[in-house]
Amino acid sequence: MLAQVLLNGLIAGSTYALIGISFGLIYMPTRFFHFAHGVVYAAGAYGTLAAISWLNLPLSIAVLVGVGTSTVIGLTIECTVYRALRRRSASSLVFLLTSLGLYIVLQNSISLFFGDYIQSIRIGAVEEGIDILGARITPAQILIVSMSLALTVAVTILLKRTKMGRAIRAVANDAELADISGINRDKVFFRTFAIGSALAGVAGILVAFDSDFCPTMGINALMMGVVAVIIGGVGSIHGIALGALLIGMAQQFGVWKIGSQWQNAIAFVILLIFLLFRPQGFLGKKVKKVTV
Amino acid sequence: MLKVERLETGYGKKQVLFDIDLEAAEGKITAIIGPNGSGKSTALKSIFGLISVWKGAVNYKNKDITNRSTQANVKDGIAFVPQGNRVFDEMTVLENLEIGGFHLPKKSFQTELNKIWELFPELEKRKKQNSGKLSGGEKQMLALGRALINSPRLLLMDEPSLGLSPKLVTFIMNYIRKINHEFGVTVLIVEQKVREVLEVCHHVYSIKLGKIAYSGKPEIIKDDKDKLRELFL
Ligand SMILES: Nc1ncnc2c1ncn2[C@@H]1O[C@H](COP(=O)(O)OP(=O)(O)OP(=O)(O)O)[C@@H](O)[C@H]1O
Ligand SMILES: [Mg+2]
Repeated sequence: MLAQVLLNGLIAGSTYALIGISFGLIYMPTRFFHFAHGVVYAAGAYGTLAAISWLNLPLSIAVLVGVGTSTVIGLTIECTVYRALRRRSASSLVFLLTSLGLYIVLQNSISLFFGDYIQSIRIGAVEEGIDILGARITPAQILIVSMSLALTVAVTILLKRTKMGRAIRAVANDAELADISGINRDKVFFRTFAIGSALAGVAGILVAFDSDFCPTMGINALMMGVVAVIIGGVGSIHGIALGALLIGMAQQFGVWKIGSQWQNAIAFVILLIFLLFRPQGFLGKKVKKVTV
Repeated sequence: MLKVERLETGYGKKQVLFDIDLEAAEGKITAIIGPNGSGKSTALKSIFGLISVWKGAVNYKNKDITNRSTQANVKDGIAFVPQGNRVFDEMTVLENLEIGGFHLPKKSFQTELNKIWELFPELEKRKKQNSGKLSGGEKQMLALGRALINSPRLLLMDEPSLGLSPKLVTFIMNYIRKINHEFGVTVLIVEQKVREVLEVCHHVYSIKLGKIAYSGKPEIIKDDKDKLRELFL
């Protein structure tokens, strides 16, 4: 039983890590709560579903359609709405409300096109799963865990080793000094939205492979991702992955010992503990403000 | 090299600068002095395109560059070192310089980097170190290095001596003289350490309450205590 709980924790943690990292990557340079990211995540699942059931495309192509849908939606929001708000030096409250509004409109659009009922994407026959030390894991779950690990490493390398990653970190560290250094902020935002939205799409698709989903799938996933970002520390990809794992594990232990209705409460209790005792997160730096 | 004509700007509705005329002659060091809050930083920021100019014109190399983007200015050989030893304090010394030389092709970046290491050997020793851990003087060197790596023709500096010990102030001033003399960089520097900056500059402006209160050779006011006091009250 313990082995199964640990494994379930790892699987849950991996999905939170994927959405958390995708959200955290965008939050790093932009510093506002991109609520609509929840829909970008759901768009991955629904894009794939549409490609399979409406266009009869093979799974591999359908997945690309799903990731593409997420990326296009994320980029469209950035290039039209957010960029216009930045030109007007809108306050972070305006950003938050706009983003929340976008989330609601887009989620309703999904309902309109696909209906509110529960959907699923099957990859191959329904399988019993593989046995590891008495615990069972399905191929879709193995995919979730391994993709989550691979993408954590990939995003870390992107941020630390590439020119683009350095520019993202520079804007995150001191946006004005990045401007002064001649870094094009719009370009940096464009690229982070492209990568972050594609990652969210991948997360949405992987979760859809594993479990049933409905148009509201994004909001819960986003909340868990955000909790992981806060626990992990903004700017630390490893921290986010660790934070996600912590929530996943704690939730599964909670399900085992006290019942499944406490899952969300557990995540927010952990969040509260971190906010009170370690607001900068596991590995993050203290947040500070700067102006010229 | 740089010519500012009848410039007016401010923040929101509040006007800070009125009718500013100033010039930075090619190959020379021009200084701006004046009391706290008089608008010196605002002048540099509006010249560089960080805040927008309301009225008037900024000319550089006989071109109108009023309200041009900072990226365009950087690519055109203008560099700005803002007030307060600003560096990317969550990044290493080397990464700071890589951001400074972001638009350089790989090969010329390496050449320019070597020049910076030669100019500031202390920085090379700490290149892998997080720049947040540098001392105030080292941060200022890094801030200068970040700006110089693009081989600018015009260097705008805002109080590079702020928070440095008297010895380091002289040290930084000597660097500025060296950068100007050896690399032929035109310098426009805002400074509160009046005595020190008057030693190195060729022309000085004083801004008081957002207006030019003095323009002339530094020698004329250097020993005139009454005049200096008047400019700062
Ligand atoms: N971002 C800002 N928003 C609003 N007002 C500002 C801002 N920055 C500066 N000011 C105001 O503009 C005026 C000029 O400020 P500025 O920073 O240009 O002065 P300064 O001459 O550089 O002073 P110091 O020597 O202290 O650096 C001040 O009254 C200041 O309060
Ligand atoms: Mg100032």
